[in-house]
Amino acid sequence: MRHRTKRARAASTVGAVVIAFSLIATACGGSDSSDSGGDSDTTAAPVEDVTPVPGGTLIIAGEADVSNPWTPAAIQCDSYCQLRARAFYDPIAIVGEDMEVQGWLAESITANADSTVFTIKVRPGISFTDGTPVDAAALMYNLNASSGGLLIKPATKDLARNADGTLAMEKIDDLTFTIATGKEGDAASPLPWPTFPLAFTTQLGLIASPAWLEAVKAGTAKPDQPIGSGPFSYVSYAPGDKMVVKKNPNYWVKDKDGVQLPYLDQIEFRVITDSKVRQSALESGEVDLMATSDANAIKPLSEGKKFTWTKQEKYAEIGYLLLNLSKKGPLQDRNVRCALGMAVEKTDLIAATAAGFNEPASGMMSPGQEGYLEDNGAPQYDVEGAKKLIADYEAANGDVKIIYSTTTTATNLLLAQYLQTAWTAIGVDTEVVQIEQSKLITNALTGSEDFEAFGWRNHAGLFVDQQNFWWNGNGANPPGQLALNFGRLNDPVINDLLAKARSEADPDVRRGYAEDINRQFGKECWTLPLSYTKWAIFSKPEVKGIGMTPTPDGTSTARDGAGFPGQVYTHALFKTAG
Amino acid sequence: MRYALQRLGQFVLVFLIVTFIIMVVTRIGSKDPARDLAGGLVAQEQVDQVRELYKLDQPFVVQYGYWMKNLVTLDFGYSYAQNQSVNDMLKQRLLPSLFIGIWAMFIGLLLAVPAAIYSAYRRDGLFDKSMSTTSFAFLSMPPIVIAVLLSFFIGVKLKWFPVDSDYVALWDNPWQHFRNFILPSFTLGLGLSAVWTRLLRADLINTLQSDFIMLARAKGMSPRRILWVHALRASALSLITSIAIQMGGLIGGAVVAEQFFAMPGIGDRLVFAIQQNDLLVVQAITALLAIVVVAVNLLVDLFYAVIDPRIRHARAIK
Amino acid sequence: MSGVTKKRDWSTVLAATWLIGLTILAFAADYLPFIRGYAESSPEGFAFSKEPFTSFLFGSDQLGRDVFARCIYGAQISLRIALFSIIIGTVVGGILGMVAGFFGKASDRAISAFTDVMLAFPPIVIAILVTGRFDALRKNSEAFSWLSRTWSITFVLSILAIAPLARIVRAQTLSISQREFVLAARSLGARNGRVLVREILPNLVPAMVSVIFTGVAVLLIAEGGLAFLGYSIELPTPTWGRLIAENRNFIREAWWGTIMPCVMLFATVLSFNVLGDRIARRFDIREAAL
Repeated sequence: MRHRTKRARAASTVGAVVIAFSLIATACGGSDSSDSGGDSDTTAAPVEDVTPVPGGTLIIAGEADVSNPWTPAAIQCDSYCQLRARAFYDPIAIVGEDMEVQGWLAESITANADSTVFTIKVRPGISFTDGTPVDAAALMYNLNASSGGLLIKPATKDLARNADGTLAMEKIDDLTFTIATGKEGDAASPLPWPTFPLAFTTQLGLIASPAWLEAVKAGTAKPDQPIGSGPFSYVSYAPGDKMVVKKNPNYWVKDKDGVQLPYLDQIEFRVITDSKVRQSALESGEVDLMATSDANAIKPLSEGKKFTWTKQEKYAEIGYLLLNLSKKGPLQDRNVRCALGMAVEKTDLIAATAAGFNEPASGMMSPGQEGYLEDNGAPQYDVEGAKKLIADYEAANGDVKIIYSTTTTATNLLLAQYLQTAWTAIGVDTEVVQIEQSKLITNALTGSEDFEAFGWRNHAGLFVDQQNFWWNGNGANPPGQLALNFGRLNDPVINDLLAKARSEADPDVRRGYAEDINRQFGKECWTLPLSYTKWAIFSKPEVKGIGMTPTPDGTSTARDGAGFPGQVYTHALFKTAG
Repeated sequence: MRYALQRLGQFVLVFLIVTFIIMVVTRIGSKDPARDLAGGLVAQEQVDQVRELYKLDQPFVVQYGYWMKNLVTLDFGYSYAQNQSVNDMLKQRLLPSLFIGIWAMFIGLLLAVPAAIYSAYRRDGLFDKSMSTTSFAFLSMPPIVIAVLLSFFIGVKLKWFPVDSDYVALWDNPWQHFRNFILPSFTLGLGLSAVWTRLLRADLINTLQSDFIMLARAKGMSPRRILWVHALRASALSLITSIAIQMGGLIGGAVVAEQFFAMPGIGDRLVFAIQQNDLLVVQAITALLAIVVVAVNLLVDLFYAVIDPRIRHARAIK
Repeated sequence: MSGVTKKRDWSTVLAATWLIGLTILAFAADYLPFIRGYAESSPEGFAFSKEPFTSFLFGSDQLGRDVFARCIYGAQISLRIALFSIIIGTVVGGILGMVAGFFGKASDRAISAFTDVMLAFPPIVIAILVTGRFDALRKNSEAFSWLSRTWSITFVLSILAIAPLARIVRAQTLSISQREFVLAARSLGARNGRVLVREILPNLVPAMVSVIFTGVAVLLIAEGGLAFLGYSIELPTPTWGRLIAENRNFIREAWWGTIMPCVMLFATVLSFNVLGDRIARRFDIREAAL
């Protein structure tokens, strides 16, 4: 049987190769590695005396792709976006090991006496990968472009602006410029803002080549082919699939031994939305490093002890239920909101949906953050009490119906069904709607009709001022208009406290304000905090250098995930021989 | 020749009707197509720009005309949500989907042809009976069930093949290409092989009873030659027809397999675009998939006509 | 039909038993004390992921819900939708097919053109497209607020069932029309309507029944694929496809959550296929290659 034989022969050869391959694979990478537990803070990779090995390709997997790639002004930048963007863009500043703002592209950021004007001095001798220089003009161009972007504008609300809407910045010389604050943009009323430099560590501070940005505006360059000054440069990008970047041979940062960074030749960033598939990909060796916040994936990976486990647990995000406060309906009633919270036993919920892995949240600030309280006064778990509150409301106003939106991931679906069960038990008719993640965010941003309640995690960071634009009433734009204050929260008590906290230089007084904000959230049940989300970075044992990215002056290291947990800096990563 | 022209004309007509229906369906429930296209998160000016650009304020038939004009010149449109032209998207993602389909059919045939031949040859023997049961079983297994089982036992437990499939072109690295495609293709190929085994077996049994086979047997031709050369050739036609008929289901199965094994194909982009209300992309990809089905059917019909002169001269009884 | 003479055909008996048992359970679910209420929440207060054959027959899922109860409710909704859709498809498709096969010429050409167009669409693609658009319609338009997923999916599956059924019925009608008794009836001057109803339809019934069985199997598979892609009935209603899709992420820790619905789906589809096949063989119906 001629056909049969040929195919059969091919099949058995393949079979033999398959078996041989799997034997080799297990022999190589499966050794035990120490889990870098240590201090339960963020990036806790042990200080290793391993000589960096230059070269090689690293494959990193993340959970979602970014919307509107890749201009700094337009990207809706979640943690995986930050991880990737910081590979090809340099930020103006970063948060260092000691939680202080350290200049990166900026040599120094100096405030005047009352923190109303900041002088930024740019490091000399840096160029973008297209050859154009990184100078004051470049930074000013970027700041203007980004602060005009629909998503970043609210964060820069209290920066002074000129009549034409651009930021009130003044160029002192080629490498120096100043930026001034102004209450709600008014240059004539400067506002003390001691923590403002933190903004330069966020998306606002990502700097792209102005020549490229201009070309994108003119249509002669593509927005998804970014040009920055970072350790890596763009090679290719397939949305929803993967992005490849290669080493920037002229990168200007060196490690403590004077070796030029980065060590790796190439990084491939993959998008794997399904967290179990991501877990399998790591376990089977297809990817080298991945970040995840899914407790159902973290638990088995951490217990297996085969991978290096870098935790990011302090200053963590809060997982909570975000409620649309502007939509006419039951959510505008404090008792209804609180009842929804009282119907949920947090430890139970965490046990069911997150394998018992996360800590229950006691408020809108996580341990380590300014304003954290162990008890912020919010009503406790009380099913009977909740039923009564709902019954009272329904007697006066009719049935309570809620639409709960969630993404399509399995864990979020579990959470949605748990909540649905809990709320049905107290008499609230709950409809669960599944929407893809970026669409969900768009719905919240525009305050769309079917956005009533959804599960969200956010608010990592250090100071309450960083949450200002999320919670401030002056950002509560009506539905139809974009607002980062998704729930359109407008509480005069909180507004006042936020304003005071922004301008307060004394950290203890500031902390007092933050704690009061926390209590106010608890009292009014504006949101329903559930748990503190832990992020984890899992990597193969041969991947080193996590958390070891040095600052340009060599005095400190850049803190991974500061403000956006799940992010690591890629500058100092390398692979030892497997 | 006349038949060919007739079929071609039919093809064009079907193409037009199908694309029109697709456009109508895609617009159902859309309050403001321009806003949906523009991505929902943009200023009013951009929405208006998009409306102008795609002539969304014109009557429906005019819009359809413009879309057709673009399609024919192979301009499939632009996705604002992903900042990418659909042409680029297709360039990146068409091949993986194509390969899933091709390899699925290959696996289907690989399994079905020998199984059917041997079953027909030793009819009602042990092999035939067990094959019949097995193929029935595979027929009854939904792609998701097969995918779950395959990915769990072979992908996770045995770790032979990756569960997160990456697209490696056949010409870049055949071994990696094979590794990545085997699970998704097998998921679909098993079901296909079941259908084809049963079909081919029935057809072969029929053929084996015909006169020319008896003559060949009488002339002393070896069974092997009879089965593999003569009987198979006679039954090939119904197999080819079946391939055409299975095309639609295969495409649907490929969409599921792509999602399941994270293969970066066009089906996954379609699902994403539907979720995002990215109307142009939805239109373009759906139209493309439908055209593939129609085109394959057309090719099979033409092939039939070439082979069978009766068809050229009379209306085929389907 | 070799080998099926005096021996009891076990596969048919098993298939029929399974289906009858399942149907009874499914539609009596609301009245059975050991099933009612178990699908929504846990009676033991979140006994997570207990294994099968402990206090739960099929084990419990991540939220402590009884997998067996959810499977039975899943049967209820999946079967209901599949049956409803196939019946509608058969009625509409059947009428079209009979007209095309019997009257021929112009009506045949028109109907064949219609089925050609319908068959050009890859079914799952159209299913998710239409369901997605109907979702938008429901959201954006007051008049359509009743258009729940149950309706959307039933509608779409019915539409998708029409063309293949029309094809099959047409082929059957064509062959029946050539038979002697039809020719006899017509030569005796019977009107078309009478011939259709009295002579052709009764002979179509076995084929239709077989096709209905096989069709339900196909639709169950289709619903599974839809659920996996996220286009299933609203939460928290369980369907088999959703159960498989939702629980597959926990297959390592709690394999029963996915495998049990897989087994049930497989057994049911298999049973329908077996019965459909047996009926076809019994009445010697030519398999129009599905």
